Amino acid sequence: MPAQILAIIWAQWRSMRNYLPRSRGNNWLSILVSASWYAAWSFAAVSTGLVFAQTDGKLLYHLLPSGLFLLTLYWQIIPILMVSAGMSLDLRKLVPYPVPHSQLFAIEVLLRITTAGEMLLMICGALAGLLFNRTVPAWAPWTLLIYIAFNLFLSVGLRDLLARVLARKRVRELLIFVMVLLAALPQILLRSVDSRSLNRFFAYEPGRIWPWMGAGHLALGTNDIPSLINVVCWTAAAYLFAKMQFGKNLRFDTSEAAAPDRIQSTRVSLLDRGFRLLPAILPDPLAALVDKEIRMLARSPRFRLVFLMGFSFGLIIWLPMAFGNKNPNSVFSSHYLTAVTVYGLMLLGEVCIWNVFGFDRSAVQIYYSAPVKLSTVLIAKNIAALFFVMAEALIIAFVCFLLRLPFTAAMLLESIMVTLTMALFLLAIGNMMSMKNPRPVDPGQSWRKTSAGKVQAMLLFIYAVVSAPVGLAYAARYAFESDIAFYAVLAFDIGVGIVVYWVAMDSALDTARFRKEDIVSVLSRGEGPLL
Amino acid sequence: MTEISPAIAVRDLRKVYASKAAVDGLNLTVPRGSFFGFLGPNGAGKTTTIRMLMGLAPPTSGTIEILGLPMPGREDEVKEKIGLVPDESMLFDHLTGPEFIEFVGRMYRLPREVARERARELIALFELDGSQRKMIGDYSKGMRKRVAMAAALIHRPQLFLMDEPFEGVDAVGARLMKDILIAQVRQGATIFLTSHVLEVVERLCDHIAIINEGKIVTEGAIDEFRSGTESLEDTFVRVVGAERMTESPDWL
Repeated sequence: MPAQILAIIWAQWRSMRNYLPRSRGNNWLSILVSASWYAAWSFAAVSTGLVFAQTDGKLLYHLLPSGLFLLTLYWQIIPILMVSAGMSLDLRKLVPYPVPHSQLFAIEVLLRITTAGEMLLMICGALAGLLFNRTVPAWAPWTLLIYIAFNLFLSVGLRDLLARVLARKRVRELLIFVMVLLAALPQILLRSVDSRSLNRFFAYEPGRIWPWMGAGHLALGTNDIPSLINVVCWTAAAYLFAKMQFGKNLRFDTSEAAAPDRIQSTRVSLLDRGFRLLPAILPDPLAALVDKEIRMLARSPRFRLVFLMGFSFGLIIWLPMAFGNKNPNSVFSSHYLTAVTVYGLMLLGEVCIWNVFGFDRSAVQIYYSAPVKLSTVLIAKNIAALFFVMAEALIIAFVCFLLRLPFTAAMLLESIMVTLTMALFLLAIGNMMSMKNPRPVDPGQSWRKTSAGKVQAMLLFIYAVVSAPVGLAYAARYAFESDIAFYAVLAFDIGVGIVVYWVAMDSALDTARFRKEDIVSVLSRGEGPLL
Repeated sequence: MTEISPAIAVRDLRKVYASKAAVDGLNLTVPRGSFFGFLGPNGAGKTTTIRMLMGLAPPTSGTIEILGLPMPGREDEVKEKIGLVPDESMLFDHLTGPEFIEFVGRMYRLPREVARERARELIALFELDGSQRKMIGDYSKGMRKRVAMAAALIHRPQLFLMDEPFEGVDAVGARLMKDILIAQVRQGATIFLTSHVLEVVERLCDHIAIINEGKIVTEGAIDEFRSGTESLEDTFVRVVGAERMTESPDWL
């Protein structure tokens, strides 16, 4: 391996080794969730291997391509949905050195493994199973390695393309608009196209054109040459796509993309008018802090991406589950609005609940030195978070209304009340976690660096706990068949949530006082060669 | 007879952000072996220029030649020959000083043992040996500049590009860094630095250029600036058009 690649890997390893001892003890939840997550996937991989070792070749002929399709879907789509595209090279810090771009590209490709290590486990399980299957030639399963390369290249290309597009002003907004339109597409199709033509379209056998078909058949040793050509062509195309996008990213100037327009309107914007109302509602310095927080978050590319994802991809992800079955009045479809809104809250949690000082970095020193109580700072941050959570809920409702998705005033009230209840508990836990485990976050960096699956698992774990009070409200509605019971329990939950919030606030403030030096020091740091 | 190319030759360089030109038709020649000071008020285009020279930002138009090699085009060869003291955000905060210097050495393809040995010597030279186990994130501003400069020296470059190298450095540290830089110029290296500290530039540099609103407003040998009655500070204030008196608010 070239010396410069080794040097980058060494520097990253040293950075992690130097950093980890300081955060020991604070990441127990993350470690526990990661261990459970990968243990579950390892179990799934072993099970797949055992099944594949004994399954008849004909069945595998249909099973494997579908499995590979799902794998690609997970590998490429989940990171986008969770705004969490794994580790990546910090090109800004590495470009000044004489490292050949081909070497940087090689590292970047390998780093894409961090997006979906789970899928690598699954492929390894499938590969091992096929090797033990007597109906499959011994050489064939190894061709799955080409499919891994295809996914790695595709992942590099997609990540780099999205990172660049989302860094550009106006183009970013245009992309989100396209996403919202895409969200509407299935609904438009379902309403405007004859159902028989749709059935014919989805029943159409796409042949061997898709990479998962070619890779699946090749891995079983059938249709050798056409499948090989298919896989090689798709992998070559993905490689060229990745190489082109990576090259463009190397030459990309983020300052240029983010530069404000020279001619700026002197008119007071609607948002500014709103901000002027703040001192009338809240006393200073709370109003000033809320004002600062809302402006800061709204200007951060990371926050904007997450916020926009809530009502764009958020609508897409739940559509098939809500309206994919034959019963349009299923439990899920009647709670579609609430589900999307809670998903929006889940995404926003990462940028404005779990690590409230993350974007403030060295500015956190001001909170400790200014004549403002830290509780006021936390409350201001929580008010700003609630503002965005509610804004997201209203936008989701508006988009649902525009797209003619199921929408009533009662649904809106339910989604807002449920989201508000959950947000209260989340803010209480979030304040404590923010003090116990503060991490500096680059607000300009659109993607989170942990694995999307791990993030998902962690959030599921936390949300399972936090949604218990809301679950009680639904249970009450089911038991008494009454909305009054539902809202009464929710009102009680909110009352409990407020008490929990204040108790958690005391605990968070104690931690903040006790760990003052650590918090300031940790938040003012940058990172290693990887983002 | 072959003419030796200048260390840096920049022609009609422009960098436009949105519709605003941060650097607007810059022409600059930095002779080899010179100690060149690049001055200007905040927002004049100094950092944008040095970012383009470092290859961190592509120019909108114009040409850059460094040590006779075009940028971009032969930038890998150029990068081998230059040493950078970039702004602080380019350091890796979770590495210790010796680790960072060793990392930079290895990025310039020095064998690992050589990089480690030189890192140890540079740490001693820059008087950072008391903080060997401290992470760069815990360094003071002056120490960060020292470690950045130490790293820039590790592969013995022919040209140094330095963005505000003395910012936040105490008098002892500044003296140490100045002595090292002067020694490098004596050995034939070229130094191109941006700075706000006019006294430092006046004492160290033999050539100066002042940039304002993206354009060079004056340049020449330091002796030309010294020959008149004006100090460098007076000249600077005059050429950037900052002589006006501002009225303080009543409450101040």
